[in-house]
Amino acid sequence: MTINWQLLMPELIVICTFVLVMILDLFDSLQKSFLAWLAIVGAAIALYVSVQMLGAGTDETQFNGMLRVDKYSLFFNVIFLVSTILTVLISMSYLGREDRRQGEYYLLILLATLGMMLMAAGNELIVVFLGLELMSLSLYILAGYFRRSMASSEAGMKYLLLGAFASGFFLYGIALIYGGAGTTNVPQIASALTADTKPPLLLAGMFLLVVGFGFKVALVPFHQWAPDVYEGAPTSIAAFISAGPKAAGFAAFFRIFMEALQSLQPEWIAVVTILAVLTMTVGNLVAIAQRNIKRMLAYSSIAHAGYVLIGLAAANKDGISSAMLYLLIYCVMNIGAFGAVILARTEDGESLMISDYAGLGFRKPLLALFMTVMLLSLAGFPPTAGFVGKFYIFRSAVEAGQIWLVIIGAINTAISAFYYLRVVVTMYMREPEEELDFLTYPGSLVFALVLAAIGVLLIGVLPSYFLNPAQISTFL
Amino acid sequence: MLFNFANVLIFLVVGCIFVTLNLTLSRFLQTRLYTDEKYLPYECGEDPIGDTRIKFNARFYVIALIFLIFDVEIVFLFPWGVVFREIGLLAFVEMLVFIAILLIGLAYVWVKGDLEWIRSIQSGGEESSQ
Amino acid sequence: MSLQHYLVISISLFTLGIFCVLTRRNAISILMGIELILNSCNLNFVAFSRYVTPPDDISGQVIALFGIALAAAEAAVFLAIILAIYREFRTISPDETDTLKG
Repeated sequence: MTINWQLLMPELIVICTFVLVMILDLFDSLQKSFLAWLAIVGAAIALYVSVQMLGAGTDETQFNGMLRVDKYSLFFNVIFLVSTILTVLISMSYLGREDRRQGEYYLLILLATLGMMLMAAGNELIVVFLGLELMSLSLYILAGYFRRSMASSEAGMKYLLLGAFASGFFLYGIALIYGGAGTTNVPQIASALTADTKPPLLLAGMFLLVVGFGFKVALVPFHQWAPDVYEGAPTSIAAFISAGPKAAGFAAFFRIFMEALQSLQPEWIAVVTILAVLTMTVGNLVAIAQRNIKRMLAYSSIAHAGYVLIGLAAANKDGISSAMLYLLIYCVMNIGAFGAVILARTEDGESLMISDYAGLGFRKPLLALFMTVMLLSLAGFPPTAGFVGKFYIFRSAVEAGQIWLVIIGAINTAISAFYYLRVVVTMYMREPEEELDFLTYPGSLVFALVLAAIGVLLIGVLPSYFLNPAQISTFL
Repeated sequence: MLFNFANVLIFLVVGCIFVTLNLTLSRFLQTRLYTDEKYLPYECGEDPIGDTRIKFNARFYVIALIFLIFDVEIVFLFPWGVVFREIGLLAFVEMLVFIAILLIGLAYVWVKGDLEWIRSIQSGGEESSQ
Repeated sequence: MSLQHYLVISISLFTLGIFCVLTRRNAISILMGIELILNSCNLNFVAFSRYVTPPDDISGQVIALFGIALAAAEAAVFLAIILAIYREFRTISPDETDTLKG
């Protein structure tokens, strides 16, 4: 067995960074912010290598067909590494200089990133599952990172209880597919299945996989954990959970359903369509009623998972590529929005109620500007990236003949504009009820927000530079 | 198609019925005799003294957690030992890397003070390295 | 013994696990339910590996090993979080820890 180490470079770089940060964390004399910068540099090198490999266009399997390094997994690597870099940047000032435990925070973020990369590259159900667990276990601990805060500990426990339960369903689904097809290798499952033989075990396994993925990417009706976890977890971690892991869940979801379970397409398209409609509608309607901005963003992230699912329901090449582009856009704009929430901290802590944002437009123009750009993008207004993402998703669904799904999606976009714009209106049109003492802008956080804002506007103005890589990167 | 789903359904239904049936059956069949004697824990025929649910020091808990992790990693050594001869040097190096990473983990736990027994009393059961 | 026997035991364990997770009011008991579910999956893998795949293909048994290691890792993280919860709330019942609502 020969191993082509060059193909595994992005993963290896992340692992080496992880080990290095772990060793350096043992030295108490070291500035902890140095570890954060080390994590960023490691992730940035891995990002650079991934982009290079994406340009070269490799497609090979490693470890007896367990990992498939192709443009699809590399494109997702880019999404994960971008969200990792942005998350570490917005975390640095949020955790504070005096937090001596923060070494393990960056360690766990790197470990979660590695799990996501394995999920996207997994060509074997068990590799996908191990990647999923590596990611999830790190995130459970990160959600409960503020041990002194009741809300954070509780978020960690709730996330773990429901996440572990969902993992059980997922593993049982894999076991049934293994029994039905006699293998867990994705291409071999596809060849073991033909259109006229549909072992019942496989159908049952497919439904259990849908439940497992549904929990991980927070689809209605498996979404109950999301608002509580987003509210209780540290804001920077809420940003991370809503971005990278969701993209990783969809990466494996697409690969398994479009490739391994291709012959069950009539069955799963029906399920996925229903889930997409439910997820968009419930997410957006409940988001209107929220008073806490973290909960509002949680429900908005549930709704966005519904839009991405439209791409899978379209079940064609365009659907997958536009969903991939949408996930990239979504990660950048959502981390940007959570970053703006962190930036709006006051002396008394975080201002999380939407009413706290009254009058921000005059007193903190820069912050209000960032927030407005991110919210307009989430709502899908041109010329921001959110518009581009939604446009391509809807177009692919129209091509696939899912017209009414697009109509429901468009209605939902209109509903969502209401609650996003309400925050903007609060910032610019309302007088503040009380004077709040804002903290000064930390450099790393502003840097992350500037990067996110540039990204959102750049994709919005020059969409083809980002759509083309997504289109050539699908595995179909 | 429908027939296939029916197979799965029957399988699920039988599974569910089996569990609920046995649970309800045992509920009806069991005799309920609640005496004080019955609730006493058995301690070699002696009358027990005090509560059985005593509180352990949380340190036991932390040490047990750390042991659990390192203990289970051993399971990967068994299949490795079986195929070691066929794969040769590569397998050896890979296992060295695996164990090295575990060792770094052990060093991490050690330096962070989670293996210390005494300090926990001073800092009131808080195991962070502050 | 045939494949069916193993599958019936496995699905019974799975259902018992779900039953346990849904009805118990103590986080440790819920963890036990989750462990039951994971073990039922392992049983499935081993049974399928023995009866469905060719004899020289032992991938199912290897997967079961990964399942065991993973269940242990999950238990460790779970117990650590429960320890943190207990310090703050003085209880480990998920029903009584309810600061997050909306």
